Amino acid sequence: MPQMNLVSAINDALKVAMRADDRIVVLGEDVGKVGGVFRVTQGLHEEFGEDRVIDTPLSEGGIVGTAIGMALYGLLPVPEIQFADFIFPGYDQIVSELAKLRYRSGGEYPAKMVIRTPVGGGIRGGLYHSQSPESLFIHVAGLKVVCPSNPYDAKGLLLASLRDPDPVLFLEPKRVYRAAKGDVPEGDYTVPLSQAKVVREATGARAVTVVAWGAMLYEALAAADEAERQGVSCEVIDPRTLWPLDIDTIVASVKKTGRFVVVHEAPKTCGFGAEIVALVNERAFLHLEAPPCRVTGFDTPFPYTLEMDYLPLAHRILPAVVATANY
Amino acid sequence: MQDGTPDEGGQTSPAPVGLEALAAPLERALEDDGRLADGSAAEPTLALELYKHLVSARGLDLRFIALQRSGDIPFYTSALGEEAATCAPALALELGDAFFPGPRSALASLVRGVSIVEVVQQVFGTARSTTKGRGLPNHVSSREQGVVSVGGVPGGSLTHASGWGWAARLRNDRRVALSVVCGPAFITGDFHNAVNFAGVTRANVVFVCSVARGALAAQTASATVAEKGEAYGVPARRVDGRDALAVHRAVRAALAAARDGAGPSLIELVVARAKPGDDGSITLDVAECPLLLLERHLEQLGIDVAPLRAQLEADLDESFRLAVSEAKSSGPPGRISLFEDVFAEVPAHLLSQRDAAY
Repeated sequence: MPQMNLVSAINDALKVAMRADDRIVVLGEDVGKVGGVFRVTQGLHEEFGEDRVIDTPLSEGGIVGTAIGMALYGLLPVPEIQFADFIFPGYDQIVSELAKLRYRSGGEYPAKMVIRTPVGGGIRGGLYHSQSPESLFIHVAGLKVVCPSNPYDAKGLLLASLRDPDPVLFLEPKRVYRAAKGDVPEGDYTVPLSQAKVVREATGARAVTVVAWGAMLYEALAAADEAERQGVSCEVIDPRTLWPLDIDTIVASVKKTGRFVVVHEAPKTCGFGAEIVALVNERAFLHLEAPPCRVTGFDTPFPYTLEMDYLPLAHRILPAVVATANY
Repeated sequence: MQDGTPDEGGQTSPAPVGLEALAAPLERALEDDGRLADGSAAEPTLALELYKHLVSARGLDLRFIALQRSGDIPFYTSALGEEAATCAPALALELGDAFFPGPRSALASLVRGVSIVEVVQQVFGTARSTTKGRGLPNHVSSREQGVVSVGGVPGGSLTHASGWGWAARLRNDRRVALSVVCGPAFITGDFHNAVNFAGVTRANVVFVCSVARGALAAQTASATVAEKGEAYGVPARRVDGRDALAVHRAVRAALAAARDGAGPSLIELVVARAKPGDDGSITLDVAECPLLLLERHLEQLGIDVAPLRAQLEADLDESFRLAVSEAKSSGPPGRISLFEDVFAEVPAHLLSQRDAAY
């Protein structure tokens, strides 16, 4: 089985899907000959030609809006937004049009697409190349939001996203684009949407459930290693699909451990962690031995110089886990 | 409201002002007395067909406005005075083409074959409506007739038309997307994106934008909308929006050009937008009214217009009365339908919200 990183796994998924389905077109800024700023679409232009791998004018509203038109025509567009931070000029089209088309037309005009975009900090990208805006899209009815953490899931989830009938926002954690490596099967397979994965099982009596996704999964796992040395066992869950969320897997774990920590890069207030805490409280309140805890970015713009002080890295997760265990 | 304010006041659009007054004369097919302006051949069958649609659009607008005033419906966006600008382009479409109207041009969907019954059901938001009680009045949708779902953001569908026409172009498909919007959609960012993308991609798309005479200066310092198309490399024409024949011919030529691979075009229509007075009627003279102008043309062709209009009005009255009666007895959609069509299948979190509430 070949070893891939996140970039090559997503690239491979696109190739596999495009060979099988000629409705798929990839479009975006510099996705063609250049292969995208992160080279995720490298080689596609050569293999599939300029009618299926298309460089667009620099305008996210135009990219998303025309992609909607392509979808209404019957194509399956995969627009790339170069950084999630750049998605906001297209936000109106996503929120007011894409997410509502199926509903407002009584089911007659769904607009299927998968919008790919890199998210997250840790690459010295500052305010405009580092954000994690997942909750702004989860809050909008009609969108599915996926965020893989490893190459195997990335390929399988992207193939599943392309075959899912609903619009999907596919968030790619750019900090681990090349750092996350693993075995990836050749050819076609899918990882089902809305199925979380227990990445590390809790074994001890003093246990805490930790939910993290994207690049922060690795921080949670690093914190879990150290917590283990301090006598606290972590059950680490990667939701993989953020919305619709597999809350059952999380709740089953919390019922086992009685303790819950959620980690994300986005600002704390109204971040997706708040929603997960609420969902856990509604379903497992009487099982909780400690208040649910959020370890997140701060309610500030994403910093440039101080990004490692902003991110909820392992050194911030660990004390939260230990405090929750000792509560 | 983003779609525009409710109609009131009995006003018509003012005369051109500022730069707009300096723009080149508008293209016309008809003189004010109804004769053909340019010596072109008459198209009597087309003129009659246009007239029937214009009478229907005017009549439906007035009737829906009356329903809004009586409180039967909460909201309505009319296109009084713009009937030629909305209906004449739609009549130029061919089977398989995609029609992207805006809220004010939605009644042109009748030209595509959407029934009065269906439009009234959608305006009332009934269980029987295709849109299942979700689209606002005039946010028409009909896949069967190739009318793409109308949303509430001015200009929001312009890029969709571009993308549809771009896809057709990529697939060597001769079908064309037609976007027809009224009012200041032309000043939105979506207009820029749509026309710029269409220009770059040579999409099979025709944009029709109607502008109320004298209203341009408040929206843009350009003398015309057409020059904005030219700036994006998209050929543009300016046509008298009350002249249904001129509008139809311009759109027909633009669609044919796009079909033949010549790329996109933009047609600016200058119209006189009318608002009904307290008694619900409107007064437009021939310099403003597309119906009056077309009536004069039909008379020039030897058609006795008065009995024709009386018959069309009587038929419309009957169809509308029956459609409203049906809509009022159709009732609202079941509340369970609230949770449907958000996604292709109702996901667990919505099932749980639904079951907890109902």
